[in-house]
Amino acid sequence: MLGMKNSKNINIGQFTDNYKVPSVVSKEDAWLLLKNKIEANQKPVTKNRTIKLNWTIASIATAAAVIAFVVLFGLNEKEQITPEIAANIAEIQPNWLPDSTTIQLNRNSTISNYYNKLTGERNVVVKGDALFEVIKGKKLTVLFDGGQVKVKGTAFYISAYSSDLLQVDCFAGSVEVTLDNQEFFLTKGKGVRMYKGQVTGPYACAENDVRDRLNGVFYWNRISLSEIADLIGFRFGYTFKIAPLLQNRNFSGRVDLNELQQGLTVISMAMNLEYHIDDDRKTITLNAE
Amino acid sequence: MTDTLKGTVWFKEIFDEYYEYIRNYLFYLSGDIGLAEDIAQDVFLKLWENKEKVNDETVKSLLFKIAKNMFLNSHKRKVLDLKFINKRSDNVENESPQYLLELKEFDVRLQRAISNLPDQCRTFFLMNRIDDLKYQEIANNFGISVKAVEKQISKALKILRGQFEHKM
Repeated sequence: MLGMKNSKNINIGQFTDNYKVPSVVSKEDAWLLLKNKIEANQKPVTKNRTIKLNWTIASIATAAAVIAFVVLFGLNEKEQITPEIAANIAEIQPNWLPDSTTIQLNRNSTISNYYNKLTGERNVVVKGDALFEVIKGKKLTVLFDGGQVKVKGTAFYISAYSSDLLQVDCFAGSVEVTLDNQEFFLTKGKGVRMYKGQVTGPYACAENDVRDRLNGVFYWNRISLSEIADLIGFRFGYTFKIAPLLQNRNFSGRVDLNELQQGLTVISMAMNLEYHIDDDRKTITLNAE
Repeated sequence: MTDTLKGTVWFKEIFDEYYEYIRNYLFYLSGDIGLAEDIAQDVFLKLWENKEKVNDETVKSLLFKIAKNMFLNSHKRKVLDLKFINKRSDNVENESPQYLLELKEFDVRLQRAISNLPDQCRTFFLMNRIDDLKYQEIANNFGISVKAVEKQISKALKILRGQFEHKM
């Protein structure tokens, strides 16, 4: 059609086939926000309710409506939304919310921040690994696929690349964590994790070990090879192929995952494995030596 | 969530399948994507609250019904200003600047003309063109006959063609 070089010949029906509806909130974030509302048992806001009023009530309601109108338009009724912030495979990115809360994104991770100016509530949607240091104030809810964390003033680390692989470690204050509909209350030095529906914890965690993850150094204590492989896969964008007999073998130790090959070499040597990286297909195969 | 796992899984499936249709429908009605997304959240909350009463076979038409009612009950009619993203702009590298300018002007005028279509004409036409819904599917969503859908979409095309024939 474009070859005709004359807009008079444009077919309206075909032209509109190229139209796409814009979006402010991604479908994934919309689901997380919806889940959060359901969990908070929030009712939808009914905007026009028909009520029979007498004049006194009507006058009060009108005055209230005028004030509400001014407040709403003065503060912008919609949530203030920042664009999605992403850290790519090779970087760690620090970010700050408007209230100075710090969020340090680990590799291959993203956050979106939803701040409601009216209520002061703060919602952050995270995918991947991130360390939060939250300034005391209104409640902050961190949403991720498979769960959420509610906090006021605290510091904690979330690993949420996938709903199958979730981990929250708290190293200051306390947090309320929901993982796959199960609720946990974590105080300083406690963590909880879930891998493929199996919850471990609350267990003890050390702040230095948690902070080390931002530097790419991971400490594991009796963690299955398949779980470690999934985490490495998410960090570097690879899929693992592991022989079934090896998947449940546990690994303990400290591994530097700044370089993929370096990390795989340490794990393979400790567990008598050999690995093969296929960069074209983005797969890593692990076999017994 | 306090509900059973089955309820949550069912709800997620419904959300995954229909969220975009409902959000888009609300956008076609309102012309405001922020509002469309807000009401879409309320629509699914309503569905969640009434999930025990919902018949799986009619859930899609129920969602459209809730969406329409929520929109109509909450918002007065206003002049629409639909602004779509035009995917074509990525594909015009070899065209002349004159033609590209004409296309852009055409695009602006077409979007304005679509905004001015009667509600039902506009929503059915856009659901067919943008959401790729067949006449039968649109008819099912709104509990009307295929003939009625066909009539509204033909009307939309007739109005649009009429406007562009006269003005170009």
